Parts: sequence; C-alpha cells; structure tokens
Amino acid sequence: MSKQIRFNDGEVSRRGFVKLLSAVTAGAIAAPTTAEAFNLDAFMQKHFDELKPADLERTLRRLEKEYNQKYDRDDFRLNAALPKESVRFAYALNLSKCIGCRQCVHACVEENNQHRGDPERGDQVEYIRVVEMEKGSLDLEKGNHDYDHQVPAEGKYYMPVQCHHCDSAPCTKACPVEATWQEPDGIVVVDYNWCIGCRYCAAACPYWARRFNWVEPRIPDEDLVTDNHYLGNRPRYKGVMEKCTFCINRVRQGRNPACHDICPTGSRKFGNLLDPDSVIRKIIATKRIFVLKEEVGTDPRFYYFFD
Amino acid sequence: MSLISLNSGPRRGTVHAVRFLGLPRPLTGPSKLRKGMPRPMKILAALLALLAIFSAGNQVLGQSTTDRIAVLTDYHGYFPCNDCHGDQETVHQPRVLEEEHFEPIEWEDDEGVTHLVPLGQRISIAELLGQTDRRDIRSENLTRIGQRIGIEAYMEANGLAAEDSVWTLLHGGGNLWCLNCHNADDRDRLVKLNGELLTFNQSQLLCGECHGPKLLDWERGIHGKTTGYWDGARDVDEISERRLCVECHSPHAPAFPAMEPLAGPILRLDPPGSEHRNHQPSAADPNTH
Repeated sequence: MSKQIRFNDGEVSRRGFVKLLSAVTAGAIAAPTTAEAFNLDAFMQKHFDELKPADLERTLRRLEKEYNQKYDRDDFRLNAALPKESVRFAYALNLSKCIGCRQCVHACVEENNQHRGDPERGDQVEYIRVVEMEKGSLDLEKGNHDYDHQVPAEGKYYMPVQCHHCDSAPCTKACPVEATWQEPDGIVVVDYNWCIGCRYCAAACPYWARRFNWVEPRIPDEDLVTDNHYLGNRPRYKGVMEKCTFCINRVRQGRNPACHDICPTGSRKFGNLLDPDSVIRKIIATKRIFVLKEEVGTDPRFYYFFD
Repeated sequence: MSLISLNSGPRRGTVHAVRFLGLPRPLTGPSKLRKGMPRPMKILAALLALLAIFSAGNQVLGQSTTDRIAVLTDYHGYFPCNDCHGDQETVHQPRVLEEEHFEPIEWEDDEGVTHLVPLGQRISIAELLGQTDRRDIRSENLTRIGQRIGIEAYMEANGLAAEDSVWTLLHGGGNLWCLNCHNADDRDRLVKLNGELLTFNQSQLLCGECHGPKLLDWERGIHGKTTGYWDGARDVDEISERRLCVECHSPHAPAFPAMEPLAGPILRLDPPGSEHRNHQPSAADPNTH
C-alpha cells in the first residue's frame, strides 16, 4: 500500500492521497455506527435555548435512559427547572470566619457527581479551591492551595475561590459555539451536550474556575447523585467543560448550595440580590465587600468581606 | 509681591519671616500673656481630683470583681457557691471551676427542645500556662497574661503543681466568673448586667451585652450558620435552621480549636511518587520531600 501511495522519494501522489482519504472516510463513518449505537436524537439535538418544551422533555427522558444504562441504575431523574422571576443570585463569603477546613470543597464534589480519579491518589475534580493567604495582603500569587497543616494557621486567612458567575463573564464570550451562557437568574451554565471541548472558556476565565474532563469521569456507584438538573449536576462526558453552578438543582428549588450548608463557621451566605430583605443585601449594605480581580472587569457575583 | 504665603501656614513654635514692610515678625510662639494656669488654681484642681477619686473611688479603683458584683446584686460578703461548694476558695482571681462543671449538660427549654451545652474543659496547668494563641487566633496575648497571673496565684494558694489539671473558664481572659452570667438563686435563669433575668433560649441577648456588633450581625443573618432554604417561602417543612450562639460557641471555652483540614487538591495526573510541579512538602505524603 505504501508503495502505491508514495513516490520513491517519499512524496505522496495525488492518486495515493485520494485512496488514503477515501479509506479514512469510510473508516470514520463505519466506526461510530458500528462500534456503538448511533443515536440520531443525540446527534440532532438542538441548542438548549432552541429546544421547544416537547423536545426538551424528550431530551430529558432520553438522557435519563442513557444514564440509567450507563451507570446500571433505574432512578435517574432529570429536570430543567426554569429560573424564577425576580431572582438574581449572589454569594458572599466572610473571610474573617473561613478557617480553611475544605468541607465546602468536598461537599461540592459529593453533590455534583464529579469525577473521582484514582482512589489511591484521591484526585478528583473540585470546583472550589481554598487559597491560604498571608494576613495583610491580597496578593494571590503568594496564596497557597496545597496547605496540609492544622487550620487556621497563625498569620493566615483562607479564601475559597470558585466560579463567580460574573455578569460580564469572559468565558461566555469566548465560547465559539455558545455552549455556555448566563441564565436570567445569574447562574452561568454549561450545556454538556453542546460543548465541543475546545477549552477556550477555561483560558478566558481569570479565576481558574472551570474544569475539563480529560478522561471519562469515574463516579463510584455509592456516590452517584441521581436527582439532577440538565444544566447542573448530571454526570458529564469525557471532553466537556464543567464548573460550579451554584448547585442549580438545589437553588432553583429554593435551597442553599451544598457548600453554603456544610460550612461549619457559617462564613458563606447566599441569596437573592433583588430581595431587599435577603442576607446578601444586608451584607452589601453593612459590610465592605470586594471582588477579586476587579480591574479585569468581569463584574463577579461572588463578594468577599472581612468582618 | 505676596504679603503672606498661603501655601504653608505658620507652624507652632517657629518663626516665619513675613514680607510685610520687609520686616521679620514672629507669628507664633508662647504668648507672653499667659503661661498656663496660675499656681493656686493648679493646687485647687489637684485637690478636687483627689476628692473625686476617693469619694467615688470604691466604684472605680482597686475593687475586686466580687465586691463589685456584691454591690450590684446585694451579695455583699456572701458567696452563694459556698452553699454547695463549701471547700471552694473564695479567691476569684483565677476563674477556675471545680468538680462537676465539665460534662456537657442537657437542658430543656420552654418549648421542650433539648439542647446540649458543652462546658469548659479539663486542662493540665502546664498546658494552660504555656498556651499560645493557637486556639483563638483573634485574641490578644493580654488575655493569656491575665489568666496566667490568676492561675499561678491559684496554684500557690492550693499547693498545685504544673502536672495537676483544673477545670477552667476560658472566657473573658480571667475577668469573668460564674455569676457574671448565671443566677445563683435560680439556676434556670441567666442574669444580665442590669439584673434582668433571661431564659436559656434568650441567651443571645446575654452574649450580646459584650458582643454587641456580633449580635446585630446575627440578627441580620450575617453571622452564624444557616442551613436550608434561601427562599423562605418555599420552606414548607420549615427545616431551615439558625443557631443560637451557644450551639456553636461553648460559653465556657468559646474559642474554636484548630482542626485538620480535609484533603487538598491534586491537580496533576502524574502517578504517585513522581515530581509534582506545585507540591508542598507534607508529612502525610511520604513521596514528597
């Protein structure tokens, strides 16, 4: 075969190229259609915003079936709860109270069906990163997320960082296919079936908030959460982006995110910016809040304050 | 030609040359008219101050906490704890509690809800003396010094050695004792500074006497742990919870101890044992160095 494609000096002839091309194309068409069941519905699924209610319903049921098959379960329930009217979420974090215990990090992993890697190494996809900072400085370059000593340590304070759900998010602008956008209630979401895995959004995010599935996610059966939102904590695929969704499944039912409820010191506060009686509004009114990397102009909805 | 420089006014005690008729003039300096108070006035002021101090002095200087409380609550000369704890020293300088004040107690409030209130802790004197601010990174060293002086006096008075252990009230840096908060006559009630009685499920009002800004924050929901629903309207099962102060802060040893954090991030996919770009040496992982 190689003799017919190449000239003696190694160059590929036109005839050889066409032969190669047709062989490769045939293989490419044959492989997915024969190797696994080719799902026309999945292939033809439209962008989430273009799905009519009936299509959306069908899509959710199809995905439930796929997940049940993949994980050998029968209790997956997907919903695509709409944002509530007059709701705009924001998060506030009291840096004087955070002790850096990382309970939020692990609660998030348990709630959101994240990839647990090698069980011995304990590596897993974590949306939240707690950075140990020097007291008296906001220099993130001196921050350390690898600390492994008793907390809180002398002279340090702790700053958890996760997706800030920015109002002017660079990630949503960077996405070439609009697989990520900001919902009306302020949550920046990713449609895992639309994402092409180019990772431009991760490059655009100034807070390193986005995670990519480099490998097929591995979720032990006992850790599977089967009550999922389409844009939130349903299991992801290899090759798609994911990130904190403010626990969209929980907050659209009126509940707090997992990281908020697990925090032992109550340093995390969550609420509706448009409700003047909410805690978040009271914090904005009484505390000196700041945001990270304000100069970049992302307008985050994650406020930090010292008490 | 400017007459007076407006950019820099005259400073105290210095003389500025002013271009006014070309002559330098002193603009400031001690006036020759008054050199302070005249001597007779100074003597009179000193006498008045002494009078003020010694007439009201019992309420200001040199009085122990005990006597102050005795004046306020009419316990003068009577220490009610001695009714049961007859063997107790009545020196209250170290806030050291004896005997049974350790096991967490259960009490039932007016609605029949049982609460578990953790009390102080048993601690060896050596550790207490050598204790650093590890347990409360926000406290000043002064509170530890106050306790240290008290503990040493107590040790001397009772012939205790460093390896003995005591029960402690680690709240207020040695400035508080039982009756600051508790009502000796009715131990189901707490007592405020103005003598008002509180039930145990109003205890936040008592804490707020000293920790006022925190109480305000707690009332707004900014301080303290809240779980459940951000949208109260959807909380039909009423499972959202706020917590009273004492449910997180032990009233007798409020500072949180340090704890071990959960595992940190492992960001690279290298196999264990290989060089990590962003590793920190840790005792937990023998592969790091």
